Amino acid sequence: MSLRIESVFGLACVVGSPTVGLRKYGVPPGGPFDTESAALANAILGNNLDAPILEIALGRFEALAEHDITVAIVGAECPASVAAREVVMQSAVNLVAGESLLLEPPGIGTRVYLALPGGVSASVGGRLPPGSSISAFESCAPRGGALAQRPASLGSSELRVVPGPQSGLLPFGVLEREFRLSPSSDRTGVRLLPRVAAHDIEIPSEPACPGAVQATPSGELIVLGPDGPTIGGYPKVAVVCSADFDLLGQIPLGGVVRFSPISLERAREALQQKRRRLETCLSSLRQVSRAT
Amino acid sequence: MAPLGDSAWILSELEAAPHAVAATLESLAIQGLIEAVASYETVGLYVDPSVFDPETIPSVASQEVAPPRTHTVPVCYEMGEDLAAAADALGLPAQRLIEFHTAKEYDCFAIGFCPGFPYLGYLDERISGLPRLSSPRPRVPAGSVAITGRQTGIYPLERPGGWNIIGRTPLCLVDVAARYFPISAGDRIRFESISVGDYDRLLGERL
Repeated sequence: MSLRIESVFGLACVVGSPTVGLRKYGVPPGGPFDTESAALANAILGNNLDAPILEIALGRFEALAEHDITVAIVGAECPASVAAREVVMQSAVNLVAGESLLLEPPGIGTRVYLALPGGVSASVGGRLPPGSSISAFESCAPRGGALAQRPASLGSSELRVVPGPQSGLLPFGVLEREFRLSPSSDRTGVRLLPRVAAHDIEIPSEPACPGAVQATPSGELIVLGPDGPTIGGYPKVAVVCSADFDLLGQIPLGGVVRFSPISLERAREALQQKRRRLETCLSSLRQVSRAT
Repeated sequence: MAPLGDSAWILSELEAAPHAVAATLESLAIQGLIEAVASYETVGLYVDPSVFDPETIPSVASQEVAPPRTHTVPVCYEMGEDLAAAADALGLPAQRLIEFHTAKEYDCFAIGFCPGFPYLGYLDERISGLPRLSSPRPRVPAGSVAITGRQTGIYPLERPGGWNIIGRTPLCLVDVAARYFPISAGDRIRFESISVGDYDRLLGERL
């Protein structure tokens, strides 16, 4: 069972479960930018939560069903249709061979996840050009399944952060204003406008992580994404807390970002709360699928 | 030990080389520790914060580690876009820059920036001190050998970059899909000058 990509305005790539153990060779974790939306899309089809999935960013996307196929679409809210009939986001969608799925540019959020039964069978990473096909690992009968509400990662502009290792050199105050996402943002790093004051702080290259808010000497702030460098020499003013990293992946280009500082303890609690919330969503999905 | 967000820590003021500390900590099966990664003077600990307790990190003094491997990397200096400009800025003939660059064996302090990029040092003082380019190149060709400050490095994959490119190696230094990572932090690297003909002959071979 497969889909052929007809057109992509934006970026479509297959992402898998984050890479573990290769940072020592400079390989970043990767994986979905919005992990929770990807997990929920996979869960709707009964897949492993970290099964390979298609991440579609920013744009219009059209794909043709080469066979009858069921997909799940979760993430940024966008007008979606199959063969010109409107379909509901955050749910399973059944396509008959020859029908096209069309996703218009999102109104809320920026990344949509498209899951296939058993996971997407295509090599992970790299962009998928029009004409390429993605296949499902398994076949499955047409099915339902939908989230009770849209993913929590959508529509928020406030990111909670903890102070970074160099917050003593570059005070947190530089983050106390509204920023916007620069058009040159990508999965490597989300770049913010306007710039903060230039600086000449140099540190020996040290470990970095997704969510680290780096200040370049010119004052450009770059929040590292899932494909960002594993080590770096720019001072890190703050680090986005793990619970809010998914939100960063859903803020549109030109969209507003605000940072609010919290303690390390609060950040850990927030992560626990997020895990519990996901667990609740997953168990209600499982109940629904047992009932139907 | 300082927090790097809620899911990582930076260990500093180490009593042994960062790569030795990282390898030792990874071998200890510490609860919640996912990866330990060496950098120049520090080690990054990537953890699951719900089970990791920073108190469980022992101080690692001089530990036995595998003896360093030495790699010889052939470099065609004629292909270095910035070789002439770099030599000018250093007040040296290009040939002298090449001699100084190939004369030393370098320590690999860390791998990072992009997969397989080795941070090597330190350069002979006579070829040290070049700043990064004022405007980074959007695309540095794979294999580019570059210098800045006291450091030298190799771009194993095409990437944007701001270091001064003084040569190019024909060899493949990384293949992520095949899990090919021949260089580790703690290894040693020596450069060897080759001709354009040698470059063409060796192109694509593994280190």
